[in-house]
Amino acid sequence: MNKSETIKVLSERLELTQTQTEELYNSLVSTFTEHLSQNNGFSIPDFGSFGSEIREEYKSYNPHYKQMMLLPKKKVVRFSQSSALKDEFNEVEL
Amino acid sequence: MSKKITFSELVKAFAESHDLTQQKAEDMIRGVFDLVIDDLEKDGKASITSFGSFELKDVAERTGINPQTKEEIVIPAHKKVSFKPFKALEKTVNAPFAGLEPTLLGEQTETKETAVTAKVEKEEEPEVFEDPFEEVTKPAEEQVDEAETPDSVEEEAEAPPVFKAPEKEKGNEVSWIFIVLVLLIAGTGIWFFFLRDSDPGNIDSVVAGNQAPAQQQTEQAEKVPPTETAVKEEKTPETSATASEAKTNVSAESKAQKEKPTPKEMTAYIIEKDEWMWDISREVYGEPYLWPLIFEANKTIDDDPNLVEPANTLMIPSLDGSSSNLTKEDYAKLAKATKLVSEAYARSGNSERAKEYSRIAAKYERHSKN
Repeated sequence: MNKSETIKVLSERLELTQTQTEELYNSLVSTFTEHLSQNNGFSIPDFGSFGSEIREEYKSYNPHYKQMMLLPKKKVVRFSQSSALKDEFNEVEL
Repeated sequence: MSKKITFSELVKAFAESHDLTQQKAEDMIRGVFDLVIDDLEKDGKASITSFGSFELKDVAERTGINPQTKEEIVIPAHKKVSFKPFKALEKTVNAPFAGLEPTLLGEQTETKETAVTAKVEKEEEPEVFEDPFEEVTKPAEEQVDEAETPDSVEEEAEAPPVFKAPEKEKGNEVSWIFIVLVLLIAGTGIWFFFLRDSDPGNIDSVVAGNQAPAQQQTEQAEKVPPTETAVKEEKTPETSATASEAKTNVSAESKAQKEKPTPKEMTAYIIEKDEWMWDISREVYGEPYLWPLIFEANKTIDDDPNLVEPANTLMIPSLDGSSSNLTKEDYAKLAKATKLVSEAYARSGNSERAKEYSRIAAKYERHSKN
């Protein structure tokens, strides 16, 4: 499902025009991005949580140069699925 | 470090910024992720445009330990939703560390080493200039003394320009060339030094040998002893140069002028830079070993022959003959002048040098009588 399809479905559910929905969609994504870049984690119920964290520099073997490389620290986005989402795709053992 | 925003906060903020009811805002956000879940169920993967992609991944069965009971339990194979941020999101989030780039560790260590060695080089340079300078030049004089060959004269004559070059340019290459040269001279100097110690009669015998033909063949003989003495004399000016750290450009242009026999006059010579008498003698007479003449004529200036004060005017006595063909009078003068040098050295506490010069003076005297 691509973006236009998503927006079409969303607009039907929210009873909004597709243009409005697209605007909302874009601004929602930019809101998420902004929060993550400001170190603000957020969670979506029954789905999971997003957060950003700093990955410290680490050494790794670079097969191209055949040498060890030092990879610098980086801020990365982390996602953790919620247990509800996990259960959704796995048969719950009773 | 990172603070958490609750879902209600997120919804509230989103609703306010877009003039929506909170219900609608919540529906919107939930709707987006519901669609993601639908897609995941359908295709096993989904994406949110310009945010990231979700994928359903299989996790193999593994054993784990129950942290509470410390019991080993089997975690069955299951599926897991993984998230991979898109480049745009990654870039925005990583903005604070955007300038950092991965570095090859091999290269890094290399550059560190070279930097360190470069520092060491810089630190060592001044030492090399001073310490080996004095130590090395002493043996260097001995070398000249013992070598008694015109070759060594040339070597010594070329040495001073090499010494001053690194000081002016201070380039690494030049300094290294300089260091190598200094070490070379030191090595040969030490070699000759030991030679001399083991065989002290060597010089005298050679000197005597050189004097014998001098008596027989007038023209050739007069040429041979000068070069020999030149060798001996040069060593002292050489040290005087190093001692006072004098540097001068040796120009051969004046050679032609000075070789013309001039009547007995004193010509004034203004010391331009940190010249020492050896240099001046070479410029004025065309031969450096005649410097005692200058010293004698100017002995009021400074008692220590090694020290020539800059901005002084030196009186340059003229020669009867030419520098390459000295007359007996010239030799007599040279003998006298060399004696003075010897005395001056004795006064300044350089007894070794004083002895040498008295010996040279004796030789000049013999020449003057022949």
